[in-house]
Amino acid sequence: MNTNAGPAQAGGMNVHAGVFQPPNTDEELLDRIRGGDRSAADALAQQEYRAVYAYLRKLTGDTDRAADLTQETFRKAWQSLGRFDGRSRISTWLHRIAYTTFLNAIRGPRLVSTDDDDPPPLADPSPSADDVLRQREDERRLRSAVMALPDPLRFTITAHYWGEMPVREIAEVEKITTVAVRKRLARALEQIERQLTGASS
Amino acid sequence: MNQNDEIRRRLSGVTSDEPPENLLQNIQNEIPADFAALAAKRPSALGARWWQVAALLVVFVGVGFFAWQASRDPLSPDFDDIAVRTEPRLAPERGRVLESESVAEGRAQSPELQATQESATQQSELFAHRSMQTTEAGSAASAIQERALAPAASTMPGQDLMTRSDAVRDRAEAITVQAAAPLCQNRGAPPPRRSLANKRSKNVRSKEGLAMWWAA
Repeated sequence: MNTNAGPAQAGGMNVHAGVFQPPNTDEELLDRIRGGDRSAADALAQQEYRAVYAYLRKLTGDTDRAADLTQETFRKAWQSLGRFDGRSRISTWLHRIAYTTFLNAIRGPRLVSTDDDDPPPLADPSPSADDVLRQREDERRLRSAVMALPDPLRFTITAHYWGEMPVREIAEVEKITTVAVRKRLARALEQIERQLTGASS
Repeated sequence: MNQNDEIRRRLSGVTSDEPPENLLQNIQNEIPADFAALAAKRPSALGARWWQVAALLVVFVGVGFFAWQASRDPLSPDFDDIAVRTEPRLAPERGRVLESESVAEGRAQSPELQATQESATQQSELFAHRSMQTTEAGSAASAIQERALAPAASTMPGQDLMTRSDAVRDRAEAITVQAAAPLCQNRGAPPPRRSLANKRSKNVRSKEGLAMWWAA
């Protein structure tokens, strides 16, 4: 069983009732959850929700939708916890659920933000408003190009760059080789490049 | 920096922000009361459903049954027959039959071989005739010898052994004559065929076994 020590574990340290606790391993957490320990489920949520939210925020480009989808992701995770076989990390499993939840959500109209309706954060004084607008426009175009990819390429590229999942974990969850994952990444980058070049020209 | 590197940089540079403050609380509030029961439904160690195991078992039984049937198929090669053809010593009687079969086949195939075989047969007949004469002469000589040696028989210790040796020799000559005679007489006769009784009984046994299996 792998331990939770990946880059996605921003909130890996548990602070329960003011007492510092080391990060839980997946195995310990699962054993405690399966034993009916409610605090283990709380700890799991606390450990993983930031990474899941960040992934969904980058996918949707929208804070509120990302928060809603994060809640939905954990709701599904509790329901399907019994089917989790422990062969991959919990964070990897949650990212896959988050991605599926996101795909289900974008089937509805206008769920991927174009950021046009979100005003720039004027409260941030450091970058100029033009810079912020330019950056948001770049991100919008990039996100559109990513969303235009075929599903396997889209999941691979978003899991790797936005979900910060290593190639090996993507290979495990997709049941393919690491070589195949790298090929997918290369193909995805080529297609994004074509999309962006075509859009700019 | 090539275009792919630029896209990688832009992908990695997509910003996020801090999650809303109440998000964790909302998630924890949605943990179902019976989550332990949900989590306890662990997948089987084999990762397979019961019907997958059953289907696999049925396939194995089916393949095994057909393999068993195929092994009892009367059209399959008779290994006893093959063994006799390659090693006639294993079944002397059948070996002789097969030998005469092969002689007949060879005769049909080649006139030169046939002529050679006829010549060999004539020589064999001649040998048999001489052998008989020799045997008769030998017997007469033996009788004369026995009569001549009879008075001294009780005083010669190797006499009994010599008598036995003569008997063996006589028997060998008689066998030679008997073996040569049918070879000459059966020339051109259709070769005897192997009886199918053995295979028939094997087939009947197979069907009876199948019927008993179904009945069980």
